[in-house]
Amino acid sequence: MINEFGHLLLIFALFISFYSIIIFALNILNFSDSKLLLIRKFSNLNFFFIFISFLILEYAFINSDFSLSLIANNSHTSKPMIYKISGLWGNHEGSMLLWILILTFFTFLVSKTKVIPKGIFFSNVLGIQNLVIFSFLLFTLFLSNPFERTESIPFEGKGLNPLLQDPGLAFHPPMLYLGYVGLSISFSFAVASLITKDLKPNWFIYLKPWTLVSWCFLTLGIALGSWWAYYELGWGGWWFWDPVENASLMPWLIATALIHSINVVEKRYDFINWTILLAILGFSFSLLGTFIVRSGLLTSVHAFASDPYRGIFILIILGLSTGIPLFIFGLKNFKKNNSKFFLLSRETALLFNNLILIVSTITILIGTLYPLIIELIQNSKISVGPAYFNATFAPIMVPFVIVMIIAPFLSWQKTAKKNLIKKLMLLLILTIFGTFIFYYLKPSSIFGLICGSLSISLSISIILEVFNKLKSTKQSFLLDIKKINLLPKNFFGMIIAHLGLAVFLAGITGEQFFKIQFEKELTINQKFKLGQYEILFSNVKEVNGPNYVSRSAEFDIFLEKKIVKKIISEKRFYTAEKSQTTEAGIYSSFFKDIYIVFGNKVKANEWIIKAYLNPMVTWIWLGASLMALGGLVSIIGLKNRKILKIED
Amino acid sequence: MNYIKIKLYLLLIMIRRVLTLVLLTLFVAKACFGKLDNQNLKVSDAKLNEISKNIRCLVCQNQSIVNSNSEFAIDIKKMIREKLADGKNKHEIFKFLKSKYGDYVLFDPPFQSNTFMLWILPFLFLFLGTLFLAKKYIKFRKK
Amino acid sequence: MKIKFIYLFPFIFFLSLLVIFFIKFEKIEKGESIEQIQSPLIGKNIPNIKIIKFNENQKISFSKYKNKRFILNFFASWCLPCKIEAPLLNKVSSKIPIIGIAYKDKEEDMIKFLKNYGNPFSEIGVDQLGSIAIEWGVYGVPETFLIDENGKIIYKYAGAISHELYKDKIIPFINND
Repeated sequence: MINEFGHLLLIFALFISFYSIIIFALNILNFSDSKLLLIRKFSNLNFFFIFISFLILEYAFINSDFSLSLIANNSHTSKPMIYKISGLWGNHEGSMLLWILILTFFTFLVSKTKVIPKGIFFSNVLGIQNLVIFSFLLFTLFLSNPFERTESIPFEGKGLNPLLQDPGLAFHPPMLYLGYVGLSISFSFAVASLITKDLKPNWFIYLKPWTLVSWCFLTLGIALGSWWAYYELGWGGWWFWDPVENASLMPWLIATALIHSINVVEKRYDFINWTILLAILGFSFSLLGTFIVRSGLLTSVHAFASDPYRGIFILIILGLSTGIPLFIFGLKNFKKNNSKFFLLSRETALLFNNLILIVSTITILIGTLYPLIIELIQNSKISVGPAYFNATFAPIMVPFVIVMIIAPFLSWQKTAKKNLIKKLMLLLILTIFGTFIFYYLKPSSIFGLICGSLSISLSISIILEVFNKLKSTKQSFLLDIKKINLLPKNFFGMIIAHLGLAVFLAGITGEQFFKIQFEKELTINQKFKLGQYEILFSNVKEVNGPNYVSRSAEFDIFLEKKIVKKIISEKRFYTAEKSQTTEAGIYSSFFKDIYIVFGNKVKANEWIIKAYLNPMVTWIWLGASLMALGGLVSIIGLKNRKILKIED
Repeated sequence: MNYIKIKLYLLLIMIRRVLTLVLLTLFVAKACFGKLDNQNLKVSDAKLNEISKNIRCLVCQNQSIVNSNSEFAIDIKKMIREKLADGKNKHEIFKFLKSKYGDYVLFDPPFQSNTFMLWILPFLFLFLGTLFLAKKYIKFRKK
Repeated sequence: MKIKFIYLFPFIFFLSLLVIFFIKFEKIEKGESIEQIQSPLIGKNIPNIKIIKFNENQKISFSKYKNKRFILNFFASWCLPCKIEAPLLNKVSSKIPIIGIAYKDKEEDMIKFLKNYGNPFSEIGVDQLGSIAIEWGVYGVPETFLIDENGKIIYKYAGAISHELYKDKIIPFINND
């Protein structure tokens, strides 16, 4: 009974968003404050309805209510509670409801905000948001209804995929969706700016907080997904250039470009067209990501079960929501750009790096879609694997990092050449020093040398930038912690985020170019060497887990004859699901990971043992976390920002 | 005189800072990477992995045979090992697999007529983008 | 009102993407989408590798089929789709000879399988290690090859053969269309 109510609430929400769209249209013809108030109230109500509906569905999951086919197909009474809860979004229909929940929540926040002047612009923003909400509700109700009933209630559910029962995986989708949906808000502001007459020139100030929030969540969501893949899938890797991974990376790159573009707008009121375009594209790529995962267009380890009608519907949503704004953008008669900046300026650096971010996004898009294009033209199948992306994305990012390294020394508009050369000299000397030391460690290839060198150089550049800033604000050189609070938080946000990238690069350098691998058939009590470590394959035994039987291999890790750690790698057989997973044994420390995979039996007493020594892997996760932290610090710093007063 | 003294003093401070940085870096680097011992890898194991990384597991969803434990993956890996022992090189092995399974089995798109666009487009876009920005800048300078 | 072309570029780029997606969807709807991987062996002669017959010490002689059309089918007792396609395969075998290749199968299991599901094969070869499968570009079972009178592979299908396939491809092949 209560499930029907949940379903009904979705239908109510559909109507409310539809009415909101009507009012939005009416407001364009003839604006009135009362109509704006109505849209705002509707947005609040809509969130409330969706929230209750979500709770009802969650309640059904918690109680393993198999009268709903969603739960019958995706849940099981023996699932641990946390996975029953997170199971709501571990499937297509439930994840759509989560998407809509976040969408209506953010719309609610926007409608409640007091900083937007109560005019047509506000109405337009909410109207566009409601267009998106309406499309998704339409899609969900007709093609992905989470409240669908089963014909007969089964005694037990079918959903016990062991791979999905994992804390990392439980939080990865919500994080990503928060990121994707946040970009829809920036999208709405940007599109509203295209259609609003007599637009106030400082409308763009609303873009920054939303874009930063999305960016943070996207960073965390992607990092969480990679981290999960690393420790759970047992392949020793963390990024495979899989179409769905690419689908999450592309909006992230656009969002990064967008943040920096907004910075230029706020600082010098330039790049505004560029910013609008990026804001539109950010959400478009989010939609594209959704489309790819759910349409069966491309094969991927991630893809949900595909249904062509779903794909077509999302394609229509994607087509209209991106096509129309891009068309309006194309026709818009923008005012002549007052760009007054010289080659050696921070604007140029930001513009160039923005270009690179967009080109890299297009590159990933081409690589991901190329198999599809070839299939349509030539009727044959080809693969585009990691080597393509490594050969195109990585080289394109090299100039990006180089510009990042130099940019802090460039001034806005025009840089004095003498000053610049002096500062760059110091940077160059330190970089050469650092690279020379790094070379002595013998990375496995020249690319490792380049990657490591970039990481070192970026770190040096950031440190120098911090010193310079402290000097210029006349603070004492011995850092007085209290005085740090006086410094602009968005400066530190940027520093932390950029440092995060440097740390991340260091992590990649270690993991890609200093990795040591070992693979052999071993019997119990055999030893092998892995770098400076000696590892003893000590035992194999059968262990009973809560819903699986595991064959566990135990390994003793020795460093200089003393035992450092015992780790276990297992092959688990899940009895209910009749499936098997491999759990890698990982000894993780700050500077390196030892990663051991217990493989198949080859002879009576021999198993294949794969072991990796992965230096600096933790720095990859650390780097990503720092980037997100930098974003968070910037968000906090927004509280006291001085907004550039624009003379019309 | 004083001016020179100040300059010398600053130079000394800078040298001291640089040395500290160098020592710190060495220390951190040693802790990170230590002494690397790549010698325990059998040459053919490394070669096998290098080749296998590029072969798609046809019964899996988007995985290479390196990461797969399926029958197909194991069989192909065995075949690669045999061919390597026979003295065949990477390209011959790829050519053989392509002749049996088609382009799809190789993860890395080869340089052939139908992948020309794939490889060219990214750099083309970068070039065009930079060209566009350069044109705008030149137009601005002319004013 | 001047329309700067450059501002329309994103729209045009996006439109081309949409077109690509729509074409793909139409293909899926029409059922033309190739989930099958095009085999590069099509149009070429059958692979040269020798296949040992089951229970005999000699290889399968393909010269026996010179100027005759035949079908070659990789199967296994442990393969579920093989059981599903067995009745159809039996029907086909009455019209055209089928050579069966037992892929990584145990003798007793294969014999039991053929007893339970019928033996459509005029002769049976054995591929214990899977090396013959690799030479034929096979990556799973069942896979079926249509070979013409010149010893060339005309068509290959991976998966259990269906009635549509029988109607659309196998019958025309048998009748030499």
